[in-house]
Amino acid sequence: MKNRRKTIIRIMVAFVAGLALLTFFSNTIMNLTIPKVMGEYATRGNLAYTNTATGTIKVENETKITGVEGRTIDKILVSSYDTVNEGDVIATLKPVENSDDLKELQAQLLTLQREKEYAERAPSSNTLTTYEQAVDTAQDTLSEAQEALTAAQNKQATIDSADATILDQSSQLAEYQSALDYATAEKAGYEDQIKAIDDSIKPLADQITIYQSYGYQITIEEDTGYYRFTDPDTGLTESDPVGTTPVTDGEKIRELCYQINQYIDAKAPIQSDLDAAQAVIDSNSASIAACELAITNAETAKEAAEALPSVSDAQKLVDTAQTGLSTAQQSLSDAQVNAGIEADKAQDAADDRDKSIEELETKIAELEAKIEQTEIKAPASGYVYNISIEEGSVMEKNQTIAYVIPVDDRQCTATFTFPSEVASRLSIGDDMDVTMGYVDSCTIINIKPDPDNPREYKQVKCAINDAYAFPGESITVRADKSNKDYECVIPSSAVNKDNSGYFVYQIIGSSSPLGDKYTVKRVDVTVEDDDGTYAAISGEKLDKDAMIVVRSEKPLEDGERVRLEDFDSDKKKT
Amino acid sequence: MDAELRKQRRLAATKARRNVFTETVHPKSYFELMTDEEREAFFARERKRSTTALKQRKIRKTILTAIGLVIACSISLLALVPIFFTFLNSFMSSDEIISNYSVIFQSMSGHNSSGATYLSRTPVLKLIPEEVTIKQYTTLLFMNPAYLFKFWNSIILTLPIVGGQMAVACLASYSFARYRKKRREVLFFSYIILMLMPFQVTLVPNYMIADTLGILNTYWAIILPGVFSTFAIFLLTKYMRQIPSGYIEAATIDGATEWQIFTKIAIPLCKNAIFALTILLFIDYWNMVEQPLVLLTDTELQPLSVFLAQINEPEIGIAFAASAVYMIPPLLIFLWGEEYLVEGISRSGIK
Repeated sequence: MKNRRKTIIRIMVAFVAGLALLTFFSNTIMNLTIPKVMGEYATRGNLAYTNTATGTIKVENETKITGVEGRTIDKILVSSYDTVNEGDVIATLKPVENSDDLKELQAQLLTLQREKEYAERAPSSNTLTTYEQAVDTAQDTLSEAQEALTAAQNKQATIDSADATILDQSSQLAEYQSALDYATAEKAGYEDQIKAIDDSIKPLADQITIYQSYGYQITIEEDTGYYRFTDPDTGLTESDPVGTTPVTDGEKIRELCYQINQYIDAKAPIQSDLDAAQAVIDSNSASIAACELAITNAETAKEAAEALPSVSDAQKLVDTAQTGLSTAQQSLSDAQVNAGIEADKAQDAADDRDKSIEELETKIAELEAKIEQTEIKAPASGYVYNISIEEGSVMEKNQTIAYVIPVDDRQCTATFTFPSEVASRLSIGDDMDVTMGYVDSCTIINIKPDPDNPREYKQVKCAINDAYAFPGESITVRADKSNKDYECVIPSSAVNKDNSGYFVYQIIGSSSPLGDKYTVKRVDVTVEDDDGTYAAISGEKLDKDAMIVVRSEKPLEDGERVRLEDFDSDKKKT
Repeated sequence: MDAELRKQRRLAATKARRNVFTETVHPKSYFELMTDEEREAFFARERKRSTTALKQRKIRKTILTAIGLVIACSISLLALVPIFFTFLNSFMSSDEIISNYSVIFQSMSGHNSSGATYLSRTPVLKLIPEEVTIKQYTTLLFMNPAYLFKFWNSIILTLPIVGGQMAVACLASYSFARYRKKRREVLFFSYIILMLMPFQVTLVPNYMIADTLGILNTYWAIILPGVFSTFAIFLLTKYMRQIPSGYIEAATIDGATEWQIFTKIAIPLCKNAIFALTILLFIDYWNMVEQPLVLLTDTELQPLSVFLAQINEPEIGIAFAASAVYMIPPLLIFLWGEEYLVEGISRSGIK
């Protein structure tokens, strides 16, 4: 029993202690868990203030005074808003002591010019010849291999053909040989007959010769060999018959000529037969030679065919040759590409070199001109202002060291940024009210989208209608006096946006015995107008009397409980 | 047969009363007159009858027990359902509670939809949560400091009242029990009248007195009337009067002073009653609603009982957890003094 009571007492103590701890840390826990928000009631009003904008006056026809890069200012002879005439000296420059830059540029130029000269003198190398020769060689090899393959494929047919040729020619050769032998024998017979006739003619011809030596005119026809004689005494010719016994020399001669002519006539058919036999001999000799040549050729072809490799070996050779040809062609193609690239590189390098040379020449010219410059002069007449250099300062490239603005006919402008909706009510030529700034008025001369936010804002450029306006002055203008009266205007920070659109969190307060409790309720709204600071909203579910969250410690969710910042203290004060 | 036997017995009794002794012939019993067959049939019939009677009696007893059990269980269930309901519903999510019970508040007057909703919808009484969660407890204990402050308000109000009332009651009861004079009896009678009066009758005078004393809207406006409440005095007086006077006379003879008699004899003998009263008073004042509601207009001073009595729609989401936590201190107090309470009530006649 006592133990039970002790246990119960411990439980009681623990319970009370726990509640005491919770009470002690209650505010801490609540501060950590419940976000603190700042609420504000929506007001009825307009966004007239959104139609004002501030801009800076700028002179359009000002003239820039550009400095000389790298030069040091020695003395500045004018101050801001001094009046100067064109050509007046604005500042003097210290002489250039160190011209290393110029020397370096000149050295670079010289180097480039030499490189260009060497490049122009360099012979053009044709690196492709080797590759082309290799391709030709490979092509020849392939052709040979293909022929060898074809020959190998026709090897047996060649051998058979050669054998047939040898056999055929051998038989013909025998025939020709027999015909030759026969003709030779005939020829020998005919020659004997001719020789006999010639032997018969010879003594007669000798007698004729003797008679000729006696002065008889005996002619021998060249073409026929006939002896012609006309007896001067009788006038008879050799063809006239002579008596049985010649008596006179003429008759003897006529008889001799007649006999000789008879022999010649007898010799002629024999001679033709001899010629025919000789022709047969020649023909058969030629045929025999041809047959022997054909046999020799056939034997040679047969030997060559027998010496040929097998078809597979020949095919391998063809493949190898084909591969070699492909490799050679690929090498040639690669070499052509590389040669093209190298050529392009060389051309590019040459172009770059030319350009660099041109730039260097320009730079050297500019640098030489700058080195020679000793003072900066006013490019126009007017006020000098915005001098951004000091004596002893080194000028940078394209640095504007001052401006010159006209004294009388200054064209001043100012650019203002307005929301697009406000700008849509403006038009070129409208005058705008200057609410702040020492300017009489300004007229809109240009309206264009703001480059930073072209959809939301537009830049309105105005011409300043004031002869005494100076650049740099700030002026504020109002674009539109009238504005729409909105029912709900709240700070823009109260408007949130997500994928489903714009929404605000309304604070729903409830009072209970545990005190006032506040929760937030998400309400979808439509933003009618927004100037970045305040927004005009509307919505069907928007309770215009409810407080709207304008600031929160952490992101809120619909229905989340919140604490109102300083709300309790405000309530106590009231 | 029975009538004849009774007649003979009556006659024998009359003679015996008149001291007339006659040798009576012992009559044959009912069984002796029977034949064996009749006797067997009789016993068989009797056995059957007794068996049937036993069965009927058993069935009747079983039915009555079951009915009683059902009634007892129903009553117990009715008593326990709210407690179970509260504890089980405290593990529901706030959204589920709102969807189940918000219709109760919507039916109240002044609500937008008024009673029309109540007619069309009835609250869903559920014991099993759709999703068990301790969100109610975390919300209640971590995000509602006001609840904790009200809890301490309850303790600040209840403990002084119980302590003070017990101190006053012990002293006053001893006085009433020890010295019973006529004027004291009148005073005690007036205490009884005060105790019998409804609380609402004395509320207005209490308010006026507190206003006069300038303690309105302070804890003292509750504590002071509570300390001097008559209920504990009446009960403790009744209890102390049961202390035998011999104990006190013996102590007096032994030289004990009045304070020693009070502290050494009266208080220890009344320990059970004191503990029982302490528990009852704690529970009574832990649950008080009217006094703080009337006398404490500042809600920050009001105890937890007022908040629970005023649970409304914005708080329905944590109502069950708040009730469950609220029940814990009385429950612990009861468990602590359970035996004292039973004994004290039984001996003092409290019902």
